Amino acid sequence: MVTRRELPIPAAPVARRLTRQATRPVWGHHPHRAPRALRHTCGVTASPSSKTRIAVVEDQPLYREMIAATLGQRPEIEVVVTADGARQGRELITAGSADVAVLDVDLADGNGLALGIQLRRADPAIGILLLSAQDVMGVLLDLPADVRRGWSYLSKSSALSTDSLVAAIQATAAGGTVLDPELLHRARPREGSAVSQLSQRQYEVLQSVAQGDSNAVVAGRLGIAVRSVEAHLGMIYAALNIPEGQNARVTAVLRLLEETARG
Amino acid sequence: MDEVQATDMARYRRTAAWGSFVPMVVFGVGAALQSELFQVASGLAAYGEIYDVPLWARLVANLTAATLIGAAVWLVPISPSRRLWWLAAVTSAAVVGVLVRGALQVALGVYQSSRMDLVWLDVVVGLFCGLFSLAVGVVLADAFRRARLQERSTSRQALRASAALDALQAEELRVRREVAEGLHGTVQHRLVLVGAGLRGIFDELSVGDAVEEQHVGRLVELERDIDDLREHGVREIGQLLYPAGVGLGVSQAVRMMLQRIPSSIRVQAHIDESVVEYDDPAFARVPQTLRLLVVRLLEEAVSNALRHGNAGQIAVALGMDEQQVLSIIVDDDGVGVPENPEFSGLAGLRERLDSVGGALELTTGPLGGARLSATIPLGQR
Repeated sequence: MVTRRELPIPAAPVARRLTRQATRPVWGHHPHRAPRALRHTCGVTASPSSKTRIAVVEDQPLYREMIAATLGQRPEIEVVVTADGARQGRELITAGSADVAVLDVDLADGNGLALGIQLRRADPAIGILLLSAQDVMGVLLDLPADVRRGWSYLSKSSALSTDSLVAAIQATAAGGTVLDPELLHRARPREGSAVSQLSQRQYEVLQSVAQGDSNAVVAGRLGIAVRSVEAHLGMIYAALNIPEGQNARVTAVLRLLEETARG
Repeated sequence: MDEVQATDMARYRRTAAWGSFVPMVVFGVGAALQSELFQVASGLAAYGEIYDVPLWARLVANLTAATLIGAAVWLVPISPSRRLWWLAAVTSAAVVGVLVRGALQVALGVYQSSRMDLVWLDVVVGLFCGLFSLAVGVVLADAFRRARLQERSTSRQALRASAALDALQAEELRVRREVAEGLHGTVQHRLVLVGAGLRGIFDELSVGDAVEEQHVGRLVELERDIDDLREHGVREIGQLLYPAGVGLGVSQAVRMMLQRIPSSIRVQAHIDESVVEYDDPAFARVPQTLRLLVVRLLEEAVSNALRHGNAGQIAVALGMDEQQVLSIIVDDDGVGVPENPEFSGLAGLRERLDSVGGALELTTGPLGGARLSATIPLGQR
């Protein structure tokens, strides 16, 4: 069963966009100074009416056309590039041309992970959303240090709705990390890990956050107040020993991925 | 003529030149000294029976001949296809050298005007010495060259063998990958269709009245079996054939493997930054066969720990040193290294590690159980 979800409200993703932009060369050697300086300008530029430009790389023609057609109909999405493989992807997706690259991991002439890393190195602002039929969600844990943030993963075999795909794309564009809901649902906390020490409620909150939900969506999903969600998040960060800051949300999501097992 | 052959031939000429020059010098110096000593010892010179020849004149003539022969052998170009032509050329050069020696001796006044017939005797003896020296040089150079070719062909053969092994393993991996893809795609898809078909029959049956209860139950069971087969059986076989992540990078392959360990087992994993950086998926420097070997090694260590060691905790560390040697350490808190370690699974891995220059060791670890440590050199492949 797939529940229809609201689009993420920009509040939390914008905070994360700042995180990623901080690594852009604009601020040279002082990336930690950037967020404060840009907090206001960012709020202005993140206008909800601007379309998210996506590039789709998928080697199966039918699947590629389906994604492109389905997403192309959405008013908030603009499909700027479709490519049939790694080579064409490298050629067509030039720096600045797309906000998010939606990449199939198993390409006939390479793989989406390598392509994503190359695209990110050429364009530090591009978000990467990986799609795969085989469960390789763990790839998000061992990315090279220079391209670590702003990656998402969805499973092709999960029953995804267009809404959830669009939501994942937008969250990724904002620098967030979205994990596949079905795979998350199958995951079990690993014995002895910090994640296994979370309370049931905290675990649910983290699971929801990992699907790309904003605090408001988490609150709606769990039937609790947004404030409670914030409080839970604070406790989650404390339990996982994550310093609160712009990176905390993504770090917590990756810890959930690292400290769970999927049979 | 390629570069290797060119240097080969240059070496050949150098060996042959020295090989001819040295005996010729020995002959020349020896002969000059002998004439000198013979005159002094016999005292015949004093009676004018033998013309008194200064030693230097004979030396100059003899060394000139030796140098001419050596230089000719050194300088006349040679190729394997025109070896006879080369032999003829250097032989003529040797003859010329000997004749020059005769002429020099005449010019330097080695011979008494009354005994000019001795010139021809000297030329004949000189010819014998010159050709003999030349033969020594050529035989020597031939022997050296044969040894060199032999050595090269041995190393080329070894190289070919290892390249063939690499190709074989790569091919095996490709087939595994294709079969795994077929399983994930076609077979799973077919099973979905079969399941849907069964469900259809089941739905129709439940609408009708006269249905045996037990038949419905068996259909439901069958459908569940097929689902299970599709979800677990097929996926696991695919995983065995071509583990996820092997096509991406060492760290990725290891991570996928670790995430498959049941959640009831404590797992601490440390994949060092250096490994991630070395096998950066964008550059993929580690061959897939080695990545698969690393996964197999971990699988073996983990399953030994769980099956024989009753371990509840496993710590995996992947690192790399400056010489680009990958180290894999797996510790567990199980019963430890058995008295008679079951090397059946490890034996095969040890062999594979040997073939890539790696090593494997089973010791007692800090967690109280066994520690498996393995190394695989990644550089200079």
